[in-house]
Amino acid sequence: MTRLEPPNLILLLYTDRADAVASVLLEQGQRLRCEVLAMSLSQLVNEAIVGRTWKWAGRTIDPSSTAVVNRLVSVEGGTGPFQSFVQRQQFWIWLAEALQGFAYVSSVPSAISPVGSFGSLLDQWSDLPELVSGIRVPAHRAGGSTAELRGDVYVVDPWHLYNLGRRAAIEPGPTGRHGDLAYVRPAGRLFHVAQVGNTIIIPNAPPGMRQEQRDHIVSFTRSMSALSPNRILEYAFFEGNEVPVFYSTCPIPVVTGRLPGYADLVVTGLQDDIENSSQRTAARS
Amino acid sequence: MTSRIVANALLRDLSFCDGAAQRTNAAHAFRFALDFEPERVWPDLAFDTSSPLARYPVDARNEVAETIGAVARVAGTGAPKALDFINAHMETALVCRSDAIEGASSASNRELVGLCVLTNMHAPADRILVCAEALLHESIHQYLYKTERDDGNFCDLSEARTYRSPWSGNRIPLHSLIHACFVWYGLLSLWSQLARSTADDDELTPLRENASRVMFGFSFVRQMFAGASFPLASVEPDIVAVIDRIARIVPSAGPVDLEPSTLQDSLRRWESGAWVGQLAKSLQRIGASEPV
Repeated sequence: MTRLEPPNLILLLYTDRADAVASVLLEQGQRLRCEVLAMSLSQLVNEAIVGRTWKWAGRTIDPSSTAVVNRLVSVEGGTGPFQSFVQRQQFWIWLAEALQGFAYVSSVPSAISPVGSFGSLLDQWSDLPELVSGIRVPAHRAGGSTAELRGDVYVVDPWHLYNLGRRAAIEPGPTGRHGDLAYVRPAGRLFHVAQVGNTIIIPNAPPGMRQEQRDHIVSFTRSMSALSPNRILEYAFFEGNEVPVFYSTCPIPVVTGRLPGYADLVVTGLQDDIENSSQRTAARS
Repeated sequence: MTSRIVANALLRDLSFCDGAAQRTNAAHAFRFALDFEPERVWPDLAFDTSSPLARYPVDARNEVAETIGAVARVAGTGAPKALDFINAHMETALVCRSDAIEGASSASNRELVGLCVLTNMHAPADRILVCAEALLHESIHQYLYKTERDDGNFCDLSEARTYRSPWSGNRIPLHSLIHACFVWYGLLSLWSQLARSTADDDELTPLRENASRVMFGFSFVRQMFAGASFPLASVEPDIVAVIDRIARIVPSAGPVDLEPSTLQDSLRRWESGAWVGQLAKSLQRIGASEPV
């Protein structure tokens, strides 16, 4: 097995200083074992000279020895550096290609999001059970389907990952607008899990959470760590009757990013993930 | 089983680029029939194509027919191979209107080779380009249906799971996604060829936007195919190989190939005209694939 040196630079690409991950690296980057260089979207587009190596602010950045923490959470909107929709689209294409050359990437751009994504609730409830054995997702039906749902039925816009929707009308049958998703709300309260690489925290775990429920979460997040190109994720689960029921995952830690322990998770999880990544690469070579 | 020869022929047949194509003043027309009063109930649409409610009023039909005629003239003068392709594969277009569908739309069905439905073609402001896209899109489906009928399916048609198309954003079955890769490749070729045959900025802008949209989708095809849940084994290997070739080469027509500079400079140069040449070069590289 070849031993590969871990990256010697962490390049933070960010759009929003208030993003929880960007904020930790901007304010506490010195806690990591290698230097953190922060570059905003505007600096990336207007100042950096990009090619096989990047040059910026008098420095040369060699992708092969650099870890990228991709927090370009949104490249949309009129205030960004792009002068047209086509420029923004071409930047997104370029980003997806360019990040492949780096030694480590925290979040690989997808067609849905520049920081990667598992898509809408419907995508997640359809695709993740194929990937992770044992995962439970809410019973659901897409808009237009007449399949009957029994229980506490809610209707939600599937692209609103942080919305539980509204309780459906009493009458059975198709519910809501075209594109809405009806689901049976699982039992128990909602809680969140934050993951960076193989490290997790459950900062708002239900008070009576049992060991088997915790084991289920650990098993799920290990599976996700093994298969996902997105190393920084947040999950929402319902407590459920037996094991927790998965609700959604998002590359932006909207809830856990504000809770105690998140900064430590980013520092520890990222450090470990970057080092483990170089070991995984070495093992494959 | 789809052979390598058949797979490579797809790339050749769906390439409408022709550097030697000359604008001519010859009359250009489609040969397929327009059916404004279809009796057929299309099997999988949100409205009944045979319903009188789906018919254009008689005095509104000429406007739609004129739009389709204008598409023939645009294709005939700027992309004659595309005109020939549509004429070779489309037999009848059912022309309908419906409030059940938002905006213009088109449809094909594997059981109805040679036919398509064009819905609400009067609606879009840029109706000539929208109608051109619809007609070539559906003609490519006819060609793909025939190829599969004669040489074997490209993938397992019984695969029931759906995948999100990086072009339309819709979740579609595996066989539709595989068809989509070839449909969008053909459309990219059309936009590229039309762009090469005009110097008019007003004509180039929508072509550039269309081409960029196709490139964007191809940028994420390889990621989708590499996904842990994607049933790659259910797709014929030579079909995977040609799609992989397209998806590797098409995104390189973007600003990524330009010399080292700021991204803003590269994006500006690309957007202001370099895209036409780069795209043509990329498509030639794909079309020149002998063994994939």
